[in-house]
Amino acid sequence: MNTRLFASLTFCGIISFTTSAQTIKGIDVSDYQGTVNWVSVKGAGITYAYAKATEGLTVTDSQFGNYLPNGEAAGLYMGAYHFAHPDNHPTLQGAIDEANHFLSVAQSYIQTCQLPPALDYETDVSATLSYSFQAQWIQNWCNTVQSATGIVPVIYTGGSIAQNLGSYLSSQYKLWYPYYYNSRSDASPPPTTYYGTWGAYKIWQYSDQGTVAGISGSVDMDDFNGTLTDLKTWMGCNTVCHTYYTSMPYSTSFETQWITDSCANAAQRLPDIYWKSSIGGTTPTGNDYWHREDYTGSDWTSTTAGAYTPVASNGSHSARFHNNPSPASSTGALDLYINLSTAGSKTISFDYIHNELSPSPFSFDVMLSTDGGNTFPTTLHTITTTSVGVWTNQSFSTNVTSATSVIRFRVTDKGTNDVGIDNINVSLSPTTGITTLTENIDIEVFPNPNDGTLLNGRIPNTGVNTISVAIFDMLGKEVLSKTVDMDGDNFSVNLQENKLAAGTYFFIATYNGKSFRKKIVVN
Amino acid sequence: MKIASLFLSFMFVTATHLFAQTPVASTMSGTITEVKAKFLGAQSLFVDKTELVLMSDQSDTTNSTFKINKKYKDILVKKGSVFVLNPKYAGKTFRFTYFVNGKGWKCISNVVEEKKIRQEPSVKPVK
Repeated sequence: MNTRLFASLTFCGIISFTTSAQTIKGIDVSDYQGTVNWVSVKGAGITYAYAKATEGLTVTDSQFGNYLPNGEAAGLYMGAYHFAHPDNHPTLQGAIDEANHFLSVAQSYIQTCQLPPALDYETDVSATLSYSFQAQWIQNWCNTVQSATGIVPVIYTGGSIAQNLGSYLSSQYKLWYPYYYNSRSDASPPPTTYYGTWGAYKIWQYSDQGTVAGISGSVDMDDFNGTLTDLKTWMGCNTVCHTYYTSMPYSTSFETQWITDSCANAAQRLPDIYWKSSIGGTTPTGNDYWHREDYTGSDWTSTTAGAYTPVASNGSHSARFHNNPSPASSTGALDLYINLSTAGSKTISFDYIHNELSPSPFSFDVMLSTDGGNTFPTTLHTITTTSVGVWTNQSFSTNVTSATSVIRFRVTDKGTNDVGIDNINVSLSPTTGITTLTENIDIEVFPNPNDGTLLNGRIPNTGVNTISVAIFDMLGKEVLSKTVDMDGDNFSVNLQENKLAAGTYFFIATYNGKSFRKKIVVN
Repeated sequence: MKIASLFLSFMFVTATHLFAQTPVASTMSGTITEVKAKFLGAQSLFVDKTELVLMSDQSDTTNSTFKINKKYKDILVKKGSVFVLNPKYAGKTFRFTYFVNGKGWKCISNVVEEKKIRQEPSVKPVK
């Protein structure tokens, strides 16, 4: 090949993309590219594409909402990137704020078996911020995005910034490295020494002036470092879906946007990484998947039908089973993976709402697996009666000690009104560690339920003048502790000064080294 | 054999560039008023209020070689750790040829100095 001739024609990178074999070609776009014909892009041999989602705290790319779904529909692997502005937001909180802006726009598109989210870090702030601090900034952005999506972001950076940041960042972050060659003869990957301690690049942006059918004008060209199988592995297409067990105490009121189910590759199907979701029974449909109550995605039809009010018992959101569409008799399960290995009683509580409750085929069960979800031999709790259209607290306990426990919330569909759960808490019961502290018939407390003013009690034959009393909430937090006088077998506890919120509590009385427990409800 | 190979190469290049959407060159004239570092060693040259980008040759890790026609390789000079306009070009009017890259940057490919044309009086003064 006449290198000199090529060099003159490709000056300033004016080139058509290389046709080198064994490389997986991609592009990255922003609204600068305008309307893109993604079918033509796919036909031109492009396998994947990154699209700009956001910039800084306020900018949203005007084409992002078109590029992502249309690119995916054309058969490309798609990803979202954020253009960082540490220059405008030079604090660690600034990084979190920028990540949250990115998530507010892009989270619903981020899923396993698509490109990981990317941080475009190219603004040179080395004159004002140390590289160590910049690495923390990047880390905060990545942590925020990873927590919300379960996916490790990739970092686009180059030149001296890449060289200086590499040693400060965890090796889990992969490099997307821009390096443009001068001529056809230079079309070889960037030397390893250029990007320092990153070890290797994952994607090489090899041109800023490529041309691809379906796109008017120039476009950035990318080359994945590996085979198509490697790319799929990196994106999680080939991996066994992961299982994460949370520890106690665990609580959620479903306030954050739900994340992608990496096992089913379905968006907004899980509250966080500790949950899994499944459907079964007779004639199951996508409507049987649990979602946050404001879900409007493709799993559900007629999303407003059967909805309940109020939409939450705590905060603004709840988990909703879309019971309304027929057919009946299918099931939807939402499973919490949790380590319950600590000895002692564990309390599980949640709030429940249903606009009706009538027999078969509807049922709501909380089931327990101790073998990582393979079998659910134990039903911990079954809802048999509740007030229609009112959130009611459900509370029960288990002494199981399995590190691979799964708590399953399972509804059998009746095809009528929807079901909601909210304000889930799983924690060690406050009795743990006190062997004599059991639910005891020798102690009486009343009125129960209580209006939060005065709690009376009776313990026969104590032989003492005073006893210690304490009240714990369902998370095991002590909300009251005092000594009260005994009047024979009777005592009274003034609750007013502690202003207990409505809910379920444990009342514990102790004397002579012995403790007794009673569950109380404050309305 | 060599001639045939060269001919085929030429045909390939010609075909590639005929059928691919090559970036369109644009031009503008003016004086450089400001120079700022960009990304990957590139430098932004502000011509009045328009940002033109002078791309660096990344194979030069000192980022001091720019992708520009040979005559004006010295258009920027290093002052401390930053690049500034070479004083000998201050106030001069240039004609820039540029292509817009995939990021929307106006990427300079060629620079020529615009010669001032001396205006000859059309009518000779009457003595």
